[in-house]
Amino acid sequence: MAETPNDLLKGALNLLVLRALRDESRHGWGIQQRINQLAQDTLSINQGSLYPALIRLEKKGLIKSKWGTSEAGRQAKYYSLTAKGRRQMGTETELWKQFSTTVNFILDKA
Amino acid sequence: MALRSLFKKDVVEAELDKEMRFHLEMQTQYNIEKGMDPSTAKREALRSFGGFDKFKEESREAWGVRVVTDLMRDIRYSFHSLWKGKGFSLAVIVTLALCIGANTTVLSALYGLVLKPLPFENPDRLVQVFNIGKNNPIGGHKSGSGWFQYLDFKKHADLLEGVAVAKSITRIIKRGDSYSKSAGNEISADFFDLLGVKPLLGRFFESDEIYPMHGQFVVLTQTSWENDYNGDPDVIGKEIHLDVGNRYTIVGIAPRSVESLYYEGEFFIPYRVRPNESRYGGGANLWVRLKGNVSHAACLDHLRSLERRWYQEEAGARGRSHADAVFESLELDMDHPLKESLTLLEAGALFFFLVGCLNIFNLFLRRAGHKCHELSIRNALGANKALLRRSLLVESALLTMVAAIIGFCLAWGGLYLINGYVRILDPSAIPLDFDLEVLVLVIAISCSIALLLGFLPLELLWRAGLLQQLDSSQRSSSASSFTRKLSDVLVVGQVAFAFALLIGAMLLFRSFNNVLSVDPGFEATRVIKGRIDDQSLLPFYKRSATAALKQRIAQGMRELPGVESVCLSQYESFKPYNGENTRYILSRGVSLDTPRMVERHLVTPDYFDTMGIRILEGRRFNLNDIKDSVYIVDESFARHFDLDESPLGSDIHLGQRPPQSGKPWSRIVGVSKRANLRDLEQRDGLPVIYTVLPRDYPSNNFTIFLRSSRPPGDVVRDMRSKLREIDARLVLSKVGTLQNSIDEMLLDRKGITVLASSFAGLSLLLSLLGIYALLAYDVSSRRREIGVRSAIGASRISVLKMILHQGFGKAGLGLGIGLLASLYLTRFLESMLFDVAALDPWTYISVILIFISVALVASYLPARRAVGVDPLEALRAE
Repeated sequence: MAETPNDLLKGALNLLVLRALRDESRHGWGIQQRINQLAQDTLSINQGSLYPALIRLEKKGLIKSKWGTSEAGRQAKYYSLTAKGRRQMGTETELWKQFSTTVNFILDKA
Repeated sequence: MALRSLFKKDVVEAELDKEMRFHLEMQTQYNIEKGMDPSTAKREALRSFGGFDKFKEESREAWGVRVVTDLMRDIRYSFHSLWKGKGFSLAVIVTLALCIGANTTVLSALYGLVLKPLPFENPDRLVQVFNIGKNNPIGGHKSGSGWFQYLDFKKHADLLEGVAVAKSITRIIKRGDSYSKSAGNEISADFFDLLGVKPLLGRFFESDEIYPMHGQFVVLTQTSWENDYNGDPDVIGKEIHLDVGNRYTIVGIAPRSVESLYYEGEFFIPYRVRPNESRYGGGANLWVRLKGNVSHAACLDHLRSLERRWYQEEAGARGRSHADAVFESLELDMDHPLKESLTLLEAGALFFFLVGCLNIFNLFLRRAGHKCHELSIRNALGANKALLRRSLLVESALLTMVAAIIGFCLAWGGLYLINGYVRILDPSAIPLDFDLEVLVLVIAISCSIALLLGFLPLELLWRAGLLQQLDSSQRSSSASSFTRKLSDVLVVGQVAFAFALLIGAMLLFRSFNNVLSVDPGFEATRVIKGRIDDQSLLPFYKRSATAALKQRIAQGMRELPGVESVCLSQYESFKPYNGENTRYILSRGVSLDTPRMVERHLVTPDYFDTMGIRILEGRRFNLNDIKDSVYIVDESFARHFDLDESPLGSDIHLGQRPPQSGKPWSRIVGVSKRANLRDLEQRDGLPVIYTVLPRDYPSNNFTIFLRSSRPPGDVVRDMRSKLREIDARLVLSKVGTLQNSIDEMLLDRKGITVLASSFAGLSLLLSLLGIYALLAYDVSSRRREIGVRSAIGASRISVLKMILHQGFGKAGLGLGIGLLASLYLTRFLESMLFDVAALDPWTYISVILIFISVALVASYLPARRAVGVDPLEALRAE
């Protein structure tokens, strides 16, 4: 099935978004910048794909949003973690680590 | 959130847009800060964002907005594609609208007139009871009940919760200076209670109000109250003049629900027991309500045992003849006179519906086959089956919706027509309307059709694996061969249904023609009739004076200009048989030594001249016959009683025993032609014996027959003014030429024949189109094959034969199936047929010929096109 890589990426993106929001609330572009910063610009994803991900996370109740004013004085939508999102981030981080270790292990052996 | 996105779609959409634009601006700004020039920065921002619209769409999907926008898109798309295939859409809409219209109309009529439950409390417990005469000549005919049977049941019937008696009557109502006839009911005081009806206003009757010394009271129906008193609530306590000079006090208004029993009725008055009213002679109807869990059969047994007891204890003891009506049966529902015809019509409409649906289904199937290529491409591009199904469903739903709307309009018009027609046939029927039950049923059926049409073709193609294959040439040919096979089956079915329907319609049509060609036995166009049924006048005329009144009326009519001859008859013509003129006779001379039943008509001596009824043997009446009683019998007398010789000159006696000694027998002095004055279809009814109306016959009910060559309208006007001169209280009813009455009698049959024929005609047309479309499609998809055949030397004749063979094969198979079905189904028509057998060979042969010519016409055009195929061009086209 062609969808698996997508699902994997989506899952990863979700986790990255949660991670980017760990310390403070950010608007969409800010989240993007934060991910780039954390990845030290090694990760290249379409910036637009961030928005469907945000909506999905918000629907799941992992993040919440609020309109606010940016540093430049512009209207922007700010996202922040909910308690549930914070918990989810913890468990998913663990899962991801385990998963990637296993996959790496197998790939290295081959 | 999904809800919010539905209702505030625009707001959400705008927010998303704003958010994403903000992102792009920030990124552009960022890029500029990194040293790009503004235009590059913007381009670079867009590039790194990925497709702006794509992510917007994805976000919408994440939100759940997609279904709605997709549906909108599907609808837009369907409109476009249906508009592009206008021919197809029009064919589907017209066919479906006709089917829905026809079925809704007939179903509404059937439901409204026959099937609809009465609007009373527990209507299934409410039953009308009839007495069935044991020796009834026609068999199973219902006769009336009366006050004493009612009292007996009320006292002794333990299985009944209640009993009531009601009797339809007509009275003369005086409004201002004019008198008019008005229908109403005499009822027992518990009548409304039994139905479970409460007065709209005022009260109903007390049980002692059946005795006139307590005053005379009347309850009006709601319709009459609204029409004649503008719904004035102060009407209670006012008086009305019923029965010429009798004042009745209005005590209450009955709600409209009771009008479903007696639609013509305008008033209710308490039951009046006639002097020497017999148990079955009250001319009334009994209504009973069964106790909670008593079955109809148990109740019937119970009532029969009461009847037996009465006979043994009272009637038998007094030596009453057993020939009187004996209670035999309990009628569970009121059989509407049109029930049979309507059921038949609904069957016809249903057949038409099936033919129509098969046609539409075929159209859809072929279209899906055509669209196979398009659907496969869409499938390959990622539209999954659900998506394809949805877009086809939307198309069929749109078509069905439009068709249903048009169909309902047609049905509305149809009901309007039927209402006019039912009023003539059955004035007591409530005008028809759309009933919720019928509407729901029709809408449900339409929805299932839409579902089926949208769903099934795709499903079939999918199941057959035709949409998943990618090799395009193979796919299109196998798809078309698959849909073709199915189309073949559908066309065969269509022809079969249409055939059976046409056979039915043809039989009805021939019956109608046969009825029309029955010799009425009298001169219908030149004789005008009018009825005076006016028992309420009797109290004002002494017995001797009523005789004089009749004479004055007859004389007055003779004096009218252009009137050649006048006679009176007590017999009411063109009225369904109710046994009232039936008499037993014995005969001396010819061998009738057991009592036999005949119909006796009392007429004035000039009856035969006026009516134009020929005397075949013997003589007509003369004035001397008023004193001596002599008889003229009609020609069916000898036939009916299997006499070898003419009855002329024999003696007969009215009654079941010979005359007491010293009393004379009566002589038959003439034999007349049979006059079918009840109904043209009743020519095989009881023989009629005529005798002269005695001067002092104690009834003011009689029919005036006038023979005149002047326009009937003028004569009727003169008749009315002459009657007003004689006594203003005389009301003339049932006026018109005898031909008018015959036409009215035939309306029923005519309506059925016309409707059944139109259903059959439309079905025939649809199956013609079905065969044509199939072959035309065949020819166009086999152009190449035909081209090759012609190129290698097939003659034009052989090509022509090939296509005709196709058409005839289908038609022939359908015809065979239809023939078998008709052989079975026409037996259900038998009661409607007149002088034609259900398996009438001429009908079958002519319908087969019709179908063969239809198949010929439908195959010819495609075949001609096939012959015209140019081999070179056909091969190049591929």
